[in-house]
Amino acid sequence: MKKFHIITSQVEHKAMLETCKHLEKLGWANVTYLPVDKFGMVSVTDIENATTEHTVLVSIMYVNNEVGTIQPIKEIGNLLIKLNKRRTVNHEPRILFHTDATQAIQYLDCNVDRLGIDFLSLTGHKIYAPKGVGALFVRSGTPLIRQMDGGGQELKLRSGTENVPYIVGLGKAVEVSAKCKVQRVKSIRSLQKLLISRILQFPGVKLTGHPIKRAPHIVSFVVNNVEGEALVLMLSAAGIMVSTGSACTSNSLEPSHVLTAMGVSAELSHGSVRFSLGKHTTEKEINDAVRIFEEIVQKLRLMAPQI
Amino acid sequence: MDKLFNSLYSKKVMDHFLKPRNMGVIKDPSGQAIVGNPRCGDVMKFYIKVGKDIKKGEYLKDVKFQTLGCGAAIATSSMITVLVKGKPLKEAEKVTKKAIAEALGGLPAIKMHCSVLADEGLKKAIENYRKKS
Repeated sequence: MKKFHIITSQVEHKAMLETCKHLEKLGWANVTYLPVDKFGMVSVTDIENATTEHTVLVSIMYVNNEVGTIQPIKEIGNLLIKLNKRRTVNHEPRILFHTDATQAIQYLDCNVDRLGIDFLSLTGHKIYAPKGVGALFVRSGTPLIRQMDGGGQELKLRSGTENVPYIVGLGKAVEVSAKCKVQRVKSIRSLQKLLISRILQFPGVKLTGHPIKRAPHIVSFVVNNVEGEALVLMLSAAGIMVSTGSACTSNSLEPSHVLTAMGVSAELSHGSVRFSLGKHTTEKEINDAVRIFEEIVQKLRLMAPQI
Repeated sequence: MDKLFNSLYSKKVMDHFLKPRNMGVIKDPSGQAIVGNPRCGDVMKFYIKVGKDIKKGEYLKDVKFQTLGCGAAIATSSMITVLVKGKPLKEAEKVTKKAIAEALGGLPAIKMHCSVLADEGLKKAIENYRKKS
């Protein structure tokens, strides 16, 4: 059987990576997992160089969920439009473009025509819609087989009785977030700047992800000589919820695949921390969080042996 | 408190993590040892002060630790010092990872390796003392 070729990146969400691994295991696809630079960014040239006559799909996330880096989605879209023109002449399959826009939908331009996107996936729980509902945009005329057999709901692509309240909730959330996008991006961006500038004043702390091309709601750092799970637990006890890519919190005891792909050492990955901002975040909360964060980092560093 | 971590760690683990016992340095210790490495994320250092007693023989007059690591690493370090402080060396070095985990009301399976590090660290500190004396 002829194997399809898929191009994705090493920093995708597990939802993408595990699906690709499964297709490889079934023997249906060859997958290229593109590396990223130190900011977590995929190179458009790498995508072009990775394409083969068998390539059918490029799937790159819009915003990385761990470090907030915005991928060059529009540039990738333009590249594929250019390549597909040539491929049509050569009778090669068109390369389709999927983006996981979970972290982008409420803050960034998600106009699928402008970006040259064939598939766009999103989820409700990041945009104040109910948990457990998501959506996949499929450009009309795009070949797609059904995900499950059954009663033929959702254009025969995904059988199963629709959860109407959740679907309405998701629709409304998208509508609301589109309406206040500009204002919300502005206010969250200014809180993000405040949080980053304050925390970078501490010794032994480095920003992860792109310094400018990053989504407004994600702030991520690595803190040396501190272990992330201990930091998460102590911040949680003080009422601040953050997450970490420390190996100690993963079931595999491996550090974050995203930070590893960015070239962050295992030592530093242990001290990774991510703050997420939202529409309810206030300047006072940022100032309180910075103060408590500093106290806890100092406390944990005092507990650590000098090597 | 975060429910996720409440279910991950027992109350006792959280107590020892948030209020570690015998944390710090012994200046001029009888023995000391460092175990683990920063690549794995956990580093523990144990300091012991050995005393002599007619009844007990050589015993741990004082034990202190410093730990860089996760909640379980800090809690197991703290708990082992509580378990062995005042105990004869021969008894102290017999403390098993299982005993530490049990004293903490259990540890998640994936975190058992942290207590392996604590009992190894203490044993090495005792070894270090024996080599010196």
